Amino acid sequence: MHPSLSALLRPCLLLAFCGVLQGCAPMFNKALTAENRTRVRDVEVLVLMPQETVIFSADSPKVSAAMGGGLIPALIDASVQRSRQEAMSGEMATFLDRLADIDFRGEGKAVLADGASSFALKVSSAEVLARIPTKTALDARIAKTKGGSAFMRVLVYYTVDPKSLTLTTRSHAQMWQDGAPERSYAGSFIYQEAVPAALAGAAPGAEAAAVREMMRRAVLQTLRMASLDINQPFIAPGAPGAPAASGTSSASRPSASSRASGTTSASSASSGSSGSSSSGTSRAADAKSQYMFAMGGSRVPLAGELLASDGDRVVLRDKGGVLFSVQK
Amino acid sequence: MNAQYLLRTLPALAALACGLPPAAHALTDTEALSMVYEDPAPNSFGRPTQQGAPAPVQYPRGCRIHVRKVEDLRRNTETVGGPIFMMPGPAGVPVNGASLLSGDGLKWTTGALPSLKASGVQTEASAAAAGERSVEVALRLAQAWTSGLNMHSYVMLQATVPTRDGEVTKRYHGFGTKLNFANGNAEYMATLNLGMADALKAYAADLRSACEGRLVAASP
Repeated sequence: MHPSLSALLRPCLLLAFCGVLQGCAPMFNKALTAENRTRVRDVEVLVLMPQETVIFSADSPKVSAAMGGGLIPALIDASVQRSRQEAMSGEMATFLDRLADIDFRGEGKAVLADGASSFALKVSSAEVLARIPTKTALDARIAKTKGGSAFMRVLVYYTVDPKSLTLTTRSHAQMWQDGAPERSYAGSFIYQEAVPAALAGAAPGAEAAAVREMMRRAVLQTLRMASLDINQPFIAPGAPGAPAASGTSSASRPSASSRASGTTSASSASSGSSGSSSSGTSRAADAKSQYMFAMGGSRVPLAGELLASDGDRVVLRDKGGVLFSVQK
Repeated sequence: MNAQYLLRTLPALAALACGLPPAAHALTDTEALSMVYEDPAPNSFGRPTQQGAPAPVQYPRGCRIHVRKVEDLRRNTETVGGPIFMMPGPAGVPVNGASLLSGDGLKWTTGALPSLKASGVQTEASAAAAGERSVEVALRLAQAWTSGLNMHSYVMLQATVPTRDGEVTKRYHGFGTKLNFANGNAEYMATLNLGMADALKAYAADLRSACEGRLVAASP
């Protein structure tokens, strides 16, 4: 049976719709206003981890983007992506076998209470679930916030790079309160950590244990980033209250807390990789962006304001308001 | 076709185009997948990943396997993944998603085992008599997701193989990829079936090796 034209068109249009959304990343983040924060008595946190294990998807050649869209380029993209996916499946079988006994969701559950105890808002309950609530269930849950606890939903997505054993978790948190259907807060957090080189390819047990520990740290750090984001609200460039554009890169913008205190940020020479600063201090990141983010087999420099530096990690906020926790 | 006709039809086409993206989200996250195994028909739009052209079926002499136990050992039997909508790029985060509700995983796995026959292994759901081969099969994991215009699936089976030196337990990993036409539940089920078929293909190869007295390779 051959698919009808409209059936072929639908996913193409959906893809085009997603493409349009690419430029809208900042709209997904929303700072918690001081007024709303004072009204939050406590919050119920629901962490959603819908994956059963690592998801892997081959890159598409992006013919459609290069040609400005269209049905034929989209089908070429899909076909090439499928071939690439099939080609990497053999390698992934070996890799996934190494991770077979890791309960990623269970690791998140194990540390949730710890993470909740030091959260920026008082947490009245916290749980990890696999199932994403339906719209009806979510609406009902939001309605319950009227006169009750606020509700925060954190959707977590994770990948592990098979070669470097780098774990990347990507999370989006949204909070509702006072029965209002609009979110009072939304934040985006990305955590990245690699298994130490000495452990990669070591005994499967040691390697799996290292990945488990990374997952626990990822969940803890995600909640910590959410706390930082709530305590030091993001002000989008150009928005009221944002600093005037200095003509330099976003990496040298003053931080939110220094704006609030009226002080200027530390110079780029004093920021960055010393590793001696305490958690929660907020300074400008080095304009040279010495912090790197691994993606698709390459490493890209991260630019943004430094929110915290603690031990071997830093938390940066990019110009769209997304927080990154990466190794120094 | 003149310009006036085009002007009349353009608004209708535009309305149709605008309405299609929401309509494409045909996934029903309140209805469980059927979990009915159907042999995937290899075609240009979807095929088990590691499955090549079908070879002529040759039954090794005496390769009759009794299935003494089938289990659903998934940590999570409520869902089997689902689409996650995420922005591309380094700063991409999952802004939304939906869950695929799982039906009966035990029924799915049990229903898939007879398909081993196409690879030359006859299974019987009965206890083995003395000297006969028997196996245990468990579903460990099943998940489906989307990427671009494609759907993907990953299925992990854990099964025993009766070798000359005793029974060994191995994990079999199956993958499936299919073009996403309408994002419907039936399509996700078909993609999961591709993954199941792929895992069973590898299992059938081991069972045949065992029947023929050849070595069975260790887990990948």
